[in-house]
Amino acid sequence: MSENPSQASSSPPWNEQWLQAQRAYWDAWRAVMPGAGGAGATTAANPWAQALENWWKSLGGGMKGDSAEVFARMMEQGKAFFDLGQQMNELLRAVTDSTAAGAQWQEVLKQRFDAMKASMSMHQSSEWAESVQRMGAFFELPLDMWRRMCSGASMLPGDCLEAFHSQVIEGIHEKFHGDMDRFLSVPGVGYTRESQEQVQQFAKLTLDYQKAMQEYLNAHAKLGADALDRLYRKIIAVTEKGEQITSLRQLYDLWVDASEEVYGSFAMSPSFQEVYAKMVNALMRVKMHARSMVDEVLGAFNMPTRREMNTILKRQQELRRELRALHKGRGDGTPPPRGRRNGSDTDAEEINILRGELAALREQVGALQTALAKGGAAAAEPAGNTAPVVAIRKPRRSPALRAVKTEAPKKAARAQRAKSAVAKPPSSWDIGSIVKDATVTPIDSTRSGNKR
Amino acid sequence: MMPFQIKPDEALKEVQQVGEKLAKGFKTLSELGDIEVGCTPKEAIYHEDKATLYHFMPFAEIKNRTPLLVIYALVNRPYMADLQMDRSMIRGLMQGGEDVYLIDWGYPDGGDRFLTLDDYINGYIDNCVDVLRKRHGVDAINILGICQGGAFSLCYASLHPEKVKNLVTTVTPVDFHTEKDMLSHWVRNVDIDLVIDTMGNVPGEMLNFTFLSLMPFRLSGQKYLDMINTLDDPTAAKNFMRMEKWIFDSPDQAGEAYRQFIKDFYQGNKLIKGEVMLGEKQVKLSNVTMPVLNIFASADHLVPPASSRALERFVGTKDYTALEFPGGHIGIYVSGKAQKMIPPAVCEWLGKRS
Repeated sequence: MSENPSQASSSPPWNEQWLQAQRAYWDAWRAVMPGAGGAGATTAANPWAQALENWWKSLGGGMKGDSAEVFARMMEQGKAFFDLGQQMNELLRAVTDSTAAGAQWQEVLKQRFDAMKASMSMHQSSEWAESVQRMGAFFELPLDMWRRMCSGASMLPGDCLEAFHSQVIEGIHEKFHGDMDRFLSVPGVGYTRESQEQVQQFAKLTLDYQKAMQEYLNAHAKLGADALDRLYRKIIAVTEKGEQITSLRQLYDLWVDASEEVYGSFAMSPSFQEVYAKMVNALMRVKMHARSMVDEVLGAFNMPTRREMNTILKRQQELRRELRALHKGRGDGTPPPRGRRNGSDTDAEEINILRGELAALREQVGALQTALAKGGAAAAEPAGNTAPVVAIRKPRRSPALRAVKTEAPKKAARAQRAKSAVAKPPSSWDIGSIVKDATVTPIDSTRSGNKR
Repeated sequence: MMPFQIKPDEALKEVQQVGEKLAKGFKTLSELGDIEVGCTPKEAIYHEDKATLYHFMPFAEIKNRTPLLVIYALVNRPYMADLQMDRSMIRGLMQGGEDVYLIDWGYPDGGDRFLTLDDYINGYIDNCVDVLRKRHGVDAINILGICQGGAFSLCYASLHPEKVKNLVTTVTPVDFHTEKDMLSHWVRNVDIDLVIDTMGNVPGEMLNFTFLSLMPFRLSGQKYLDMINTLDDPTAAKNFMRMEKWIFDSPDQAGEAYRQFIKDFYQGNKLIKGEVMLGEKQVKLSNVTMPVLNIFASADHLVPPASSRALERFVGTKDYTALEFPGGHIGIYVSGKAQKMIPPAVCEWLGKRS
């Protein structure tokens, strides 16, 4: 904002001469922007924005990848800026004309803002409303995201209930839901009863989601009008500080500030927290139910289901976790079993460690077999210095070990035995678990390698 | 006083200039080519599943013999700390004499769905720390955590204090229920169990949306209008594109880890209560007894400064230092001001404690 104390004091900028010049200017602008009309009027598209759009289309996607996306976003903002310029033309002209006729600019400005708000709340198609919508297109993003999620939850493209989001349906919303709910609560009968109930439940959940979505949209509806209110107050505040807005860009920044402030307050309100959570939770219920239905179909075809995959993945991760715990339980600082270090020296080092592990395992298995052969459970009672349960599991030899099996790593084995001797057994360790573990399929203690 | 002093011819010129710059910008952007990120040469020294431990190849004298491990968040990608030559916290640390390592978590997929925070912290991080301890022949290393990685670093330091010599946390959330924490406010009533049971992994796209939703008009509007003004400068355009690439480069989140992070940290605020459980171990910040340097940003819109500042009240160390950076969550790593302030401060602090 530029301060202009001289104008503020003795030479007001809206004297007759200046006002005439302004009118001439704005008339010239209007000639350039033939679409500009009164507040709330339905007008042709902004010629600058239209020209930009045509130019972009003529390029025919001459840009690829990330740059194209970024450029598209800049185009959107460029058009929003053009729209803002056009609206400012109208706004400033009205203020200038009215002031020349003796009115207070504050009143004119307020009337103008009120007209814009009314236009927005009545969902009229005005240039300003379109401009606001374009600039606030981000508020469409949540919808876009939910649409895609809905698409993923059913075989229907997009949000199949999108039409119900319109303002037209809003009036009959409650009645519609009540009727549908009663209809969907009719119990299923006969051989296909379960399947009927599933479909009914899916429809009910979808309606619940649609209702939650409508509440979310309604909560957003006032944002545009509130942002205009805030912008108006900011403009007044500028003058109160003895400053002036000297460029469109300053006004644009003020508009962004106003929008962020209004949105920020709204997003931190309890009502937003509630409608947001309701919408997310409702959508998840739809998606979850849809997944169950898909799983039913897959199961009927003897194909793997999501539920089965989860079971397998969960068990696999639990096994990996158990292996890690056992490995770390030795406390010998050796690298983890599924990790892979780079470099030949580290590989050789790891092979040596594995050799040591193998030798120690063999020795302990031998000792255990001897104890079992004697038939006395007491003989196998773990002593304080005995290695943990992993020690009795028969490991497969890693490819690296097979390649070097003829070389007896006595030194490494000795060192390893010394380390194993201080490892603590799990607290729940007993001979029963040892015998049980000894009979299961041996754990592959070789490195599992990366999934990548 | 009349609020507007916008001359119509100048307003017209402004609009016209935007159009012209967009036209010129098309040429600039078309000729930019690939957007490269991560400027400092590095070698992978350890892999485990999709996690990779990198060592940045030293280009300056290493003054601190204790290695420094950078632990990044699971959201977004770690190259933000090494974005380009003149905007790299990693390079700054190396210039200051640190021997720097970094864990890159990769891109989790459906097979990683059941990875838990315990797997990340007591698994991957601990394994990487052990590799470095062995490689450098030291009992303990220095750790620098970034954002969520800072929270992980705190958990790790609490559970394995003997392996952490010094801890640096940057823009790290500690108290998740501070007044201005918008993310925390949003998820408070969301049924995270239902979300994870339904979605499995959480799509990166959803995270992008969430982060942009924090300041939609600035991050999805004003930023691009600013960009138009710099389009005639290929270097500035490339810098912008690097950031843009990073912002939208969001890996999916392993479902179970995300579930616990949101429920225990964001919803339950258990980190400061000492109630976070990793496996069977309880995370108590009072166990963080090594020296701690806590760096936060005064204008952070993701992690409010109050959330980071809270660390002082809960941490067990007697050697606690706080450093406030006058900027935002991302600016603390990539702004010119940050290059001059953050790495030298970290190096100096670590140097005194080596």
